[in-house]
This record gives sequence, structure tokens and C-alpha cells, in this order.
Amino acid sequence: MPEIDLFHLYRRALALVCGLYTLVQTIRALFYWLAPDSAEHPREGFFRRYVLTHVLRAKLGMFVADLLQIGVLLAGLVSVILLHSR
Amino acid sequence: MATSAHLHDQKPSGSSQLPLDKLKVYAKTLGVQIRADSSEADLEVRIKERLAAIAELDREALLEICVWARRPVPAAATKEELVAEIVEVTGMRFEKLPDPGLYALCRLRHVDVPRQAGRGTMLKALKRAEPWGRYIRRKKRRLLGSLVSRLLPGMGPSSEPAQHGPHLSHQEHISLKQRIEEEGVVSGLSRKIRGVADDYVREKLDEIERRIDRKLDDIDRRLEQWRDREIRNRLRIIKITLIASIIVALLSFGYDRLRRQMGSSAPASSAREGQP
Repeated sequence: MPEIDLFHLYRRALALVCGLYTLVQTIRALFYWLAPDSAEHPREGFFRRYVLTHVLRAKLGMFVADLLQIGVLLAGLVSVILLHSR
Repeated sequence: MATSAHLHDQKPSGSSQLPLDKLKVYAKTLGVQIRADSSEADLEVRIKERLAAIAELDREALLEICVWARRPVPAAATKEELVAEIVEVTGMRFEKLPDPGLYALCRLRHVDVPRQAGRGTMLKALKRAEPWGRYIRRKKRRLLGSLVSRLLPGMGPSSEPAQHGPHLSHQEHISLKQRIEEEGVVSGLSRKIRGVADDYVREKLDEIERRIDRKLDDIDRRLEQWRDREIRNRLRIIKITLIASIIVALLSFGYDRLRRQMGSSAPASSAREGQP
């Protein structure tokens, strides 16, 4: 009988579930915002477009600090993941 | 635009098809001078001459006259329709009428002036050609106008509504005195009151528009604040998720190291135990 590593199993299961959930949610959100004609009521579609236009008008300069922090955290995560293979 | 509609009713494909009375009406709309004993043939000749004279006139000059006289004409009106409006104009204040319009008005009022004539010459010719009856009526109206405007001092100049075609729209300030002089007491007063009411409505509409604009700006500003707040929240959630992921990755890394150490130490100990 092969030896089962529970923590390894947990890691794999977590990655699979979280990855799938994120993928589905992202596709749903993209479809919701980028296809406003799919709205049940035309007024809803109009407001989706209005909000989307507003989001596109957002100035990235206001969120530079947050984006930098996210970049650093992402780099940290990637480096820790890479450390596993050494 | 009643005259223009009338003109359309009267306008023949060939004027000879019309009976004498209708021919007279048509001639009148074109500003042809009619004598009481004019025959049908005579009228036809005069109408043809008049139409030829109108054809020579510049349409823009005719439009200038309509704008100057504040006559409601569509921008796409034909020359004959413009002339039908202009022949009813009896105004003699030519300050705001450009030279081409003045020349066209001379031609339409049967005043012979050369095309190269100066403005002064044309003005003098037009004043000389004004009939006595009309001159006296105009002076009487001017007197009445100044009397009424003194009695009603509150009715200052109001803006004329944009009543012409798209490229003729403009706003002009006309005094009550001038209006009465041109249109008579009753018609001048009624037009003046209508102008004041129009001004009031326009002012109110502008105010409503300004309010709506302010409200829309306010909604826009609030939505921007909401958007910025929402983006910050989302970024914070991403950061928290990343921190949690790093912690789990570190735990996983620690676990891996521990397992490797345990895996490498187990064979070593078993090897030691197996030695004699």
C-alpha cells in the first residue's frame, strides 16, 4: 500500500478547488461586465456600461502604493513556491 | 407662414391657367403693383417680369431681409416664398440690414437703384419711395409707441425667440416702441407680452437644465468616490489573499524541509543500526 501524505493531498486539493473557483468567478464577472447586452432589462445594460466607463476612467496613479505592495507580495509568493523545488 | 401657404395654394404651373381674381392674389403675393383696370394679359406680363426680377436676386440677400424683419421663414424656403414674406414688410429702420439685403429690398419695393449704388443712395431712394399714407401711419405708430412705452416702463427690450430656420436663428432685442411702430399698438403689445412670456419660460428651462446638470455632476462625483473605495477594497482583499497564500506556502515549505530531513536521517540511522 503506497504511503499517503495528507498535507500534500490537502495542498493539491486546495490548489484545485481555489483555482477552479477563481476561474469560474473571473469568467462570470467578465461576461457580466463585458457583455452588457445580456442584461434582462435594457436599463440594467446601460448602467453596466456606465459603471464600466467609470472604472476605465479611474486613475491608476491613486493606487500605485497598493499595486506595488501586491507586486512585492506576488514576488514573495513565487519565490517561496520556487523554493519547494530546490 | 400663412402667406407662404397661401402662395402655394395660388401658385400656378402656368399663371395663365388662373382666373383673373386668383391671378391678382398671386400678383399681390409677389409684390406686383396692380391697377384696378389691369387686364389678365397685362397681369401675366407683369407677373413674368416680376418673376424674372426675383430670379435675378440673391437668395442670401432675401434671407437677410427676412432676418432683419424678424419674419419666420424656413431655411429651405424658395425665393418666391421669401418674397411673399418680404412684400408685407413695411419697416423703415435699415440700420441692421446689410447692403445686399438693402439692394434686394430696393428692387422688391420697385425702387430703381444701380447695383453699385452706395448705402446712402439706397436709403434715400427707399425713403423717397415710401408712400405718404404709409409714412404718416408709421409716424403715428412711432408716437403711439413712445407714449405706450412711457406708460409701461417695465417692459424693456426682450429677446426675440429663435423663430427662423436653422441658420437664421438669432436673438434680437427689440423695444416696445419699435415694435409698435412696425406692427401697430395691439399686435405690438401682444407680441411684446408673448416675448416676455417666452423669456420667462426660457429662463426657467435654463434653470431646470442647470439644476439637472448639477445633479448629474453630483451623481458622477459620488460614483467616482464609490468606485475608488471599491477598487481599494478589492486591492486590500487581493493583498490579504496573497499574505494568506504566502503563509500557507511557507508552512508547506517548512513541512517539505522537515520531511526531507526526516527522510535523510532515517536511512542513516538504519545504516548505523545495521553495522556490526
